[in-house]
Amino acid sequence: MIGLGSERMLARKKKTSLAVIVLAALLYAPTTFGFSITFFDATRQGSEFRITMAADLSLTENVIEALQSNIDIAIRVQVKIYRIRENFWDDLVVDTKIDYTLSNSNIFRGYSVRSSDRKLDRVYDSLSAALDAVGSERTYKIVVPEKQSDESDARYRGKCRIFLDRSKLPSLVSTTVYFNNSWKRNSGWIEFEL
Amino acid sequence: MSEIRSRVEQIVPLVLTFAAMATVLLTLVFSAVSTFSLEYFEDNLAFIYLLNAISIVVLGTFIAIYIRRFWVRLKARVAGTHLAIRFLRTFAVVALLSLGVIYCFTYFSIRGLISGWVEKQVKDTVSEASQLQKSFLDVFKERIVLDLTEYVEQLKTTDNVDDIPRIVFDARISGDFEEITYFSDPGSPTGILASSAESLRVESLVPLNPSNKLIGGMLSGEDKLNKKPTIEIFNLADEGLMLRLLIPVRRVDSSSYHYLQVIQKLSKSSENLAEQISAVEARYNRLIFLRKPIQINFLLTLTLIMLVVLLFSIWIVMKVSNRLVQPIQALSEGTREVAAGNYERLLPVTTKDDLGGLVESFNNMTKKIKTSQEKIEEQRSFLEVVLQNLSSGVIFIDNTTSASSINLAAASILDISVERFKNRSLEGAIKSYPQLEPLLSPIQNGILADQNEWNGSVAINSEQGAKILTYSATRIQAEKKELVSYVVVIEDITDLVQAQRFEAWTEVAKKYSHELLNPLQPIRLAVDRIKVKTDTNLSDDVSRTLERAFKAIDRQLDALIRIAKSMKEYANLPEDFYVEPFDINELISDSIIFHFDGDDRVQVEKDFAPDLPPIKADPSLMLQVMNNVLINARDAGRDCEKLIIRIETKFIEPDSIKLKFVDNGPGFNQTMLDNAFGLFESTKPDKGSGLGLSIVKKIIDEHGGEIEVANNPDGGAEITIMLKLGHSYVSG
Repeated sequence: MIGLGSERMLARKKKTSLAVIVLAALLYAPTTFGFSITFFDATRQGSEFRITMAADLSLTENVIEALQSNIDIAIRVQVKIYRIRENFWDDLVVDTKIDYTLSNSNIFRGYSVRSSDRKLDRVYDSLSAALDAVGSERTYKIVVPEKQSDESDARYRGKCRIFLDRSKLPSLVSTTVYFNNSWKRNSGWIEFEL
Repeated sequence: MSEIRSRVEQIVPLVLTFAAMATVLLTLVFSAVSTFSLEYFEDNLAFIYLLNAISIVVLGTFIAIYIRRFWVRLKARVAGTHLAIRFLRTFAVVALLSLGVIYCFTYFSIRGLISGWVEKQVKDTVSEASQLQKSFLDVFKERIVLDLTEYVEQLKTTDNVDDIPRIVFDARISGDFEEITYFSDPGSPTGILASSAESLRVESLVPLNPSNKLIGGMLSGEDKLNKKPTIEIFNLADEGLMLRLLIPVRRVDSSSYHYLQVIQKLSKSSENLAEQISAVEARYNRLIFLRKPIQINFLLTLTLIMLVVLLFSIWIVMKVSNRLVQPIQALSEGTREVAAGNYERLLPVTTKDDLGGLVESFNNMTKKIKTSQEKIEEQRSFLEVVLQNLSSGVIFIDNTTSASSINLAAASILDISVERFKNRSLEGAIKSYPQLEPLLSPIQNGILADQNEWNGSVAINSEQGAKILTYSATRIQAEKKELVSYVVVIEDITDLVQAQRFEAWTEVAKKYSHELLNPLQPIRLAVDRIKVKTDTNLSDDVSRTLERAFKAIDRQLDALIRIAKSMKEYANLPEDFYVEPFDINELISDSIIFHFDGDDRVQVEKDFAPDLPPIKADPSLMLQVMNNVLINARDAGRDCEKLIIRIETKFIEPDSIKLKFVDNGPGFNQTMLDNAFGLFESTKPDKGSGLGLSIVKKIIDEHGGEIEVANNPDGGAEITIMLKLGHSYVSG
């Protein structure tokens, strides 16, 4: 027979266990939100890397509302390449970022997309078309600086991701978006070794 | 080094305080200025938050330090801490209430203000932008449609396909359009019937297709059967903004539609206008969206500013209250030091307000107490000196029956140590000095009986011999005070009593020696006559009986005559003094020869100091002293098989001679020790008159000397005589 005190104790233990599980779940939660890389390929020729990727991008209502309210949304493709070293930590040799700025065009009544590498600058009739354009298969050529690649037998590893860059949002919004999961759009890192 | 350290300890808090105040001031000013402009506020939001956070951390640290200080002082019961905390608490409550009211008022005001401000702006902007853009495009559309009416009509009716490029070309030329394309199906690349473009750029070789939005827009509105011209703006790479108009051309021969797309480059002014409209609309949209974040950020900033103000106020109040209670703390410490007897410390008067006046009054009070204390101390010292110089013994006893003070005379009379006796209860003193019990017990009883005055005389035994003391105890109570103490005055009257006794005995001796001697001489003559006249024919028994009787009478008469003579001698001593210098060693040697020469039973050991200076005294009386002392020794040691008498003479600086007589006899009993120089005190019941030592004492006294009797630690009697070399005495 369990007394009232024991029941309360059991209930408290259950609550504690639940809290621990939730905390653990938060800590080890997947870092992928909304964006996913659908195709990825990486090749290397000497110090030159070719990263080909395609992504499926979807935005939440909050982000779409902000976009339609003429808040520019920055989607960033980031590629990091490390030179593998035996007895030391791996040396970061390249950290490339390509930004795609998605904005609402009031004049053209559509969505414009501009990339920081100037390879894309178009207005699309619909948001899905604009997102498709950003996520479409594209190859990025990355060259490791000579100083970093003087060893011919050097081995490299890298990682790549595409995410919504919240730091580019207006500062007034940034105080709230950092605590709002609907603004977390991140494919998570895809790692490779060459 | 320590000076530099103390300087640093003074400067560092000041610098930190100024830095903190500057940070807070900067935060408040910057935050306030930032709210004047939304753009400025947005641009510096992160900095505002950072400044506020720094201020909060700095102020929080200062407050934590002060709270810790208050806590430590509270634990240490530092005076004024409670007052400071109460002051702080009151202010904190008042500040919280005030700031709370201000906060609530500001919160609702800002919220309403931002909402209203945004709403109004948005409405105005939207209305203007929509109207402008619509009007702008409608004007363009209508003008172009009007300009092309003739050509549209031609396209509606023409059956000759070859005429279509010409009509299209003419139409483009007529309106100076950038490009005109005639479609049978605008969604398909094969649906182009004819096209004419002005420029020869590569892009113009292939006509531009209308957008889906433009195609779909022809069926918008209430009339879904009749398609209407639609217009849009688009950006052509390297060319800038373009207008694209899609005009439905309903064929006369059928109900199907063909479409005429007209592309017209916007003029620079129109382009600017369109961009401005777009910018206004974008701003409108942004404002609508940012309304809530603006509110949140403004209110967050307000909250932070309020928090900074509150913390700043609390910090300032802590400092102020700390400063306010400093004089109180100083007063408390000063009071404690005064209570501990330190009247030297004067408190610094740092302010000229009421507290400063209080500190000044305290300093005056301390000075007056110091002056009074010095006077009391002076009087006490004077009294102490008087007491110490009194020949009478004085003991002060407090209400706990402890001896609070004792003068040197009392210590000398009672033969005690001042340090051991002082501050001890009478009970404890009796335990330590049992010989004082006859004196201290009646004093204690009087105190316990709460008597006001009592006195008495007691005899005590001290190492110096028996003493007769008188005491007089008096209760002392200050007027209207509860403090009670007792003063006991003690007098040693031993010498007085002895002198009185000697005086009395001298008188008795004078009177009775004469009275005794007078009848004794005739009695002796009568007895001698009876002896002569006694019949010689008496029987042997009677003769023997008479002979024994006569012998007994002779012995008794001898004894009586000897006593009577001794008494006469004692009584007449001072009358026949003759002083001359003589060698005391020689005198003692003469006496020894006279008494012990040829007596093998007695051995005299002489330890005479050589070169002893001559002494001025009456040689015959001194010879009598030596005779009496030696006879006493011989008589006392009559039972000794071998009587050893050791005689020592010694010069004592500066002007005295010490004579010491030690024998190996039985010594003095306690009664003799207590009253060695009393009349008729003798250990020789059959032989002595009991006047020998009394006579010795009297002669020595009259010569200004001192005599002491004691028992030698190795056994036997010890008599010590101190004589002045050149004394002056007054003949009695």
